[in-house]
Amino acid sequence: MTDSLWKLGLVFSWFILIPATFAKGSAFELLKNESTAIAQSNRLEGWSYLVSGAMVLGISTPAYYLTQSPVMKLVYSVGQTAASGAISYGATLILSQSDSSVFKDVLEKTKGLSLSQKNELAIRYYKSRAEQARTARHLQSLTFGVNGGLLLVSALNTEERDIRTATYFLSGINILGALSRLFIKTPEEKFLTKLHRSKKKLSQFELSVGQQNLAFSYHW
Amino acid sequence: MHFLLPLFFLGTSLAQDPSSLTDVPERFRSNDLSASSHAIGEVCYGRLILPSGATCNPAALSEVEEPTFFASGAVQNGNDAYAMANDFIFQKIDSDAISKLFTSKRTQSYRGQVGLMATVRNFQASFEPYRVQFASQFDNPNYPAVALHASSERNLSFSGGTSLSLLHRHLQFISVGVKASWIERQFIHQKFTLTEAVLTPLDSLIPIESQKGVLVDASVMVIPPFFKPIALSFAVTHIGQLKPYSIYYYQPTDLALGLSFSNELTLGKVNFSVDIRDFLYANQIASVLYAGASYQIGIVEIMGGWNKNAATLGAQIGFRSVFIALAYDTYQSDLMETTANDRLSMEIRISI
Repeated sequence: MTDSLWKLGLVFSWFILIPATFAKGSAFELLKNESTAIAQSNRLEGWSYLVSGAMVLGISTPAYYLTQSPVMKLVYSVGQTAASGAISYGATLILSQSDSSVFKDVLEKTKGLSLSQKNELAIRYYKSRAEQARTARHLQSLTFGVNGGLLLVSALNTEERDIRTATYFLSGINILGALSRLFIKTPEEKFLTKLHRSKKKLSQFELSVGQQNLAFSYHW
Repeated sequence: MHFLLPLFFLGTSLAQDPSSLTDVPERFRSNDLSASSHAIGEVCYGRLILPSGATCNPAALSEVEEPTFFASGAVQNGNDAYAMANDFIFQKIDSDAISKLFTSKRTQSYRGQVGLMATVRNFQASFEPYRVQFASQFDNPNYPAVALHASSERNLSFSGGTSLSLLHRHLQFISVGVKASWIERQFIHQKFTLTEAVLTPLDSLIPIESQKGVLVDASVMVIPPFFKPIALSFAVTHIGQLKPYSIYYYQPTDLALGLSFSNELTLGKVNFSVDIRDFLYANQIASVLYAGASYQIGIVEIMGGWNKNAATLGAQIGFRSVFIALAYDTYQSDLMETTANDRLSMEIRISI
């Protein structure tokens, strides 16, 4: 009896569980999971911005007219500006779709695409996204580098001690930023590299969505 | 706001130093003068990421997710106190400045800080060219005496912190970090009467002292893998000494413990944090405790804090690159008064 159960379990594993794991771990499946995770995160974050924005607007608008202090008027004025920006940003997060969600919809709604074709297109999407991230990274590196160099020249030509130190500081930070962007790959690039290395082990990838951006992790 | 007073006196009455008229006020030794730090009770090791996005605990640099680079300015109290502080710290002291001490409000207090801060995962650098604290207290109208406390600091610090997963992946829940700060300080801590002010030459009446040096803090942080909202930190603080030695800024190498609880809610995030700092040489329990709590949702963070010097309520509002933090606190005067003073701090931060 025990032996039969063991064999039944083995058959179940080979023919049902393992294929299901591979199907679940496909690039298209990752894309679907990613778009769902981003949508959920954006919805919660969007509501946070809406609620807090409404709260700040509700307080700072009457307070602006009630206070006599010019400093507090400035504070409430900044509050109003931040609140209206936050409401707009929150609504955008809730109502708009991420790039991955739009692309997932395109793949899902296009008739006649097989699962392997969807996987291939999803991989191309990830590749294109990684290339864009790399271009942006290099441009940022260049911008920081030029800025750091200009600030270094300014610091060398500044007499006043505090301003000179502050300018050296800013220059150093910009140069560090340039170097880090030159050598440290973006999460999108790292994800693609790992995707290429282990196409058959996609189920080992995990997606998590942070406050501002996606984080990819890989377990081995 | 005076509902904070009972809470305040509960702690400060225990911590009050009877010789405080001539001693440097305890709050002059604050790590951070910014309003957002002040609003959470100046907790350092118990709070992983401060409301500004920077961190005070170097080991917590391994937890930084968003790079932050900002310029900030923070002030407490108004123009009168600022002008008086400026007279004593940056101008040549003259008889007009002295006479202001005896004719202005009984207590004048001012704190100001301007700085640049860059924080990325594993690394943080900050430069504060202007960090000024000033307090003058005028006592006994029949035999007028003034206590004058003023300090101006410049501070350049670098911090590094990393998870021990670099050594072994099973050690990923332990992080270590080191912070090194170069500090230059000029200060005045003096008490004199009106008669002394008239008869004594100004240079010897108010001698300006200075000291400088490097102080190092090292910390270890553990985030238990089975309960990640909790973080425990242990730190060795003030390694090193500023020269020449001054009794007013006696900060021997000491220890600190920090406990943090932070949790994401459906909407927003809560954080509770406690520090026990500098307890090796402390006289009272209340003097080593720092506690803070905050709730952050979208663009708003509401904060509350308590330590031996003040009980504080505060809020921070910020969107994208501009942030404003306000902190309102009640603190006990250094003149052993039974009443507490109110103080409003404001901080503006611009992300670069």
